[in-house]
Amino acid sequence: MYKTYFKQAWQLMKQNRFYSAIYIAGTGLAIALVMVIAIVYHIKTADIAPEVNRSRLLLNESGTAKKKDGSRTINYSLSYQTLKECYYSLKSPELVAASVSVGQVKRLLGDIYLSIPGSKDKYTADISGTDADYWQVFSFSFLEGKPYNTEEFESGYHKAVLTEGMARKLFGSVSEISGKSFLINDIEYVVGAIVKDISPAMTITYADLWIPFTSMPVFTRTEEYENIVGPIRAYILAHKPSDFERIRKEIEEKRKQYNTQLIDYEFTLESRPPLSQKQEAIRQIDFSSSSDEIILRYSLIICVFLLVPAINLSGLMASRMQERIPEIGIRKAFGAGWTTLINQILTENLFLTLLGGLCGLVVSYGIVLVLSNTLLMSKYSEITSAVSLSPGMLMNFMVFFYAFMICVVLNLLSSLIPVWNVSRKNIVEAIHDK
Amino acid sequence: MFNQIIKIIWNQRTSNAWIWAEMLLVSICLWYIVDDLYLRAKLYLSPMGYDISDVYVVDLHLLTNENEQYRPQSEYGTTLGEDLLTVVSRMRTYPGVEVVGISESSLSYSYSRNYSNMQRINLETEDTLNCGRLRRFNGTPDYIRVFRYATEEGNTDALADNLSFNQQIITSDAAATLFPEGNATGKFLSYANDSLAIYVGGVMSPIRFGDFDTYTPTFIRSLSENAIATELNELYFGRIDVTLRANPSTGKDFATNFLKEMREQLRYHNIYLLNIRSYDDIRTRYIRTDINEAKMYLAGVFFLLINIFLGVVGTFFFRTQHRLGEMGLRIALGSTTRNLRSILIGEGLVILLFAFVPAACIALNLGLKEIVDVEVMPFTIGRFILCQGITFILMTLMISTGIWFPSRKVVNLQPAESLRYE
Repeated sequence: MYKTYFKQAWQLMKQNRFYSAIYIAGTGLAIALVMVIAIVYHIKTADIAPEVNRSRLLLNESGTAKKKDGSRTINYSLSYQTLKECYYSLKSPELVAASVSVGQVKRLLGDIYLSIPGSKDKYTADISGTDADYWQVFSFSFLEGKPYNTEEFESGYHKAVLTEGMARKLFGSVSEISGKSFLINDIEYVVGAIVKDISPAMTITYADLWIPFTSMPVFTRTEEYENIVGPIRAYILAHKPSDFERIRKEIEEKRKQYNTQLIDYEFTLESRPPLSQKQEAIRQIDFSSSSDEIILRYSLIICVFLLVPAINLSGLMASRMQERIPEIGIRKAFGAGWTTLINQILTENLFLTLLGGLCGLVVSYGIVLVLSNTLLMSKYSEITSAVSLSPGMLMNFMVFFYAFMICVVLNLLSSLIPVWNVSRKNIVEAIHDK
Repeated sequence: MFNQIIKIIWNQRTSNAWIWAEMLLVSICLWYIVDDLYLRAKLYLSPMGYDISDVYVVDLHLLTNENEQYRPQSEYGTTLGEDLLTVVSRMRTYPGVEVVGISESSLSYSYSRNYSNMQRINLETEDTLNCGRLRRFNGTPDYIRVFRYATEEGNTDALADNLSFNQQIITSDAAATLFPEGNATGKFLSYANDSLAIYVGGVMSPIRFGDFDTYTPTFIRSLSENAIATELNELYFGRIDVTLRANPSTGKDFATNFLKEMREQLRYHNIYLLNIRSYDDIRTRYIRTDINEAKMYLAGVFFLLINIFLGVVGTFFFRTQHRLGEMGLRIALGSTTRNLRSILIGEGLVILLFAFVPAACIALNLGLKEIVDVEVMPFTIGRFILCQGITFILMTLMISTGIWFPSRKVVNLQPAESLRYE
């Protein structure tokens, strides 16, 4: 039966080219805009290499040192000391990784230049400082060599991991360069491994180059405020997402224990407690609003983006249904029930909506690709290189699923009222219209 | 004609209801976005209070003990501050450099910001008036010259000459809150947790952090060369910014040439030149997020307008098809094509009017409830009318274009041909 509906829909579409074009354009536009939001959300929160464990990851990106009498608060991230006291010793998570982000390194060191000893060429690079478990928590694809291990990390060994692109710029090739040395702002480092390039859309892991953060004193030396806060962020990998609460509690216990050792200041997480990647993505949208407000605002925006075209399409449908009333009247006269009629019209309409959805999806890919820097860069990011996207980020089951669901919702929103009106029409009246 | 149009609209009320509802919703959303964009444009166009053209930030760094050439400061027999002053004086000799300033965490288009609580002291009554947080700049007089901060009359030197150990410069918006009676120059101020009293040496035009930020009350404290020479240490070196103003005739290659030719000269004791950055680049990077947001809002405007366009095209396409008979009759009875088109467009605009009035009422209520941004400027009747006006014009344009397309079919109709539909 549905096959007949689709056949009929195809015929109708061909007969009313103008109507179909307007309808498909209207649907496409609505779906394109909503899909842009959905794709951006997907790229920011889904498990995408190297951040394959986002759904199990708890982000502790901020820490506060507060004077016990309340007269001073310093919001920053964690110091190495705090990291060791409160995070590395956690029992409930699977692993704990730590890093100093590209933006933070830039703020501390200024612009960074790489060079080969003896050569005059200098290249700017986005550097991140990490620990050794970082390479376990995140899944990089290694082309060559091995990253620094725990002993090398703890001793502050000058070993670095480079991306393919950076290695090519610096050494002119990507093979057999592990063990070679180069300079980061005149300090010598040895190449440990080469990994595939990382897109800046990967907000936690993006960098051109990674080094143990223990290898530069500027990351670990934090004499002020009893050494509580520093530039380091902790990424806690839970066994499963439902463990988050347990981990938060354990951090809280560690924190209280740690505070008993401190004198004038205390360590708190009040400015931003550990968040999941989803919560963090929502927080990133607007720092000055609470996550509930942001969710409400975006729900409203999506509502408007769907509702305006839905009214639009309803109007079109209503006009179109006027023309088809005689046909429907005859169908009714021969015994078609209103459920059958509604079913048929909705299916026919879904056919057009899906065509529109397909166009919309393609358009939304175009928008995301063209505006990738605008859409995917985190707010106030210090990263200047362009955001690159892989096909897998755009074309995957989740994105298609979102698109399909939006089509169905839009179809229902736009056709229910006109169809309802028509299907209730009196048979005699309907045929009379002929 | 108006009565006739109303009648026509009433007769087609069911299909008009849809387009009416859409216009209502879009009018409200569009007004909200137009209002936001208006505020952004207004901010963007208001004066910054300083001048960053031809200004560069010179990134000086310190060698660390991992570097072979590093020597402990004590071996040189000078202080770090003295070394910095030597490097800065060498910079001044480079051709094209007009003035070089030193400051501490006092750059605009930057996230590193210092604040202080200030108090006003009335010497006669010995009362103190707490006036809250002001942004604190620390800089040398030349720092004022680099950024061309100026009095309201536009005099930079008057400010630079009056910045000293016990004289500070405050912005006029800070002066207005601190000294509502006017004429702040020469009066006393002090820090909230410090009894040291300081004179107001001069009042300068208000300043903002970035093109999309509002004015922040600020004061400039003197950073003397003496203090730099004696107090600067390695821990605080990173907070010091060296900025220079180049002669406008130096052109685009200034930074590259400076870096190439001065690298050797500015390598002094443990200090070395890492980079020189143009302030325009720093600004571009800083305002990127705000520009992106404005772009998103523009995309929203575009989306809503296209929707209205499609809705109007669709509705009037069917309508003109239904009414070809009526239109033919009108032509046969002597209506000109212009008349027909204006009836159709008139229909659209009257529906818009019916939708726009309630939309404006809703918008007014949203505005009075301060759901719109009121930090940049209060919700005034002028702002409301202006933004409503822009919204109305945009909608009118879109509706007229939307109707114009389907009406072509009617307009090209031959009277004999059209009567056949009757």
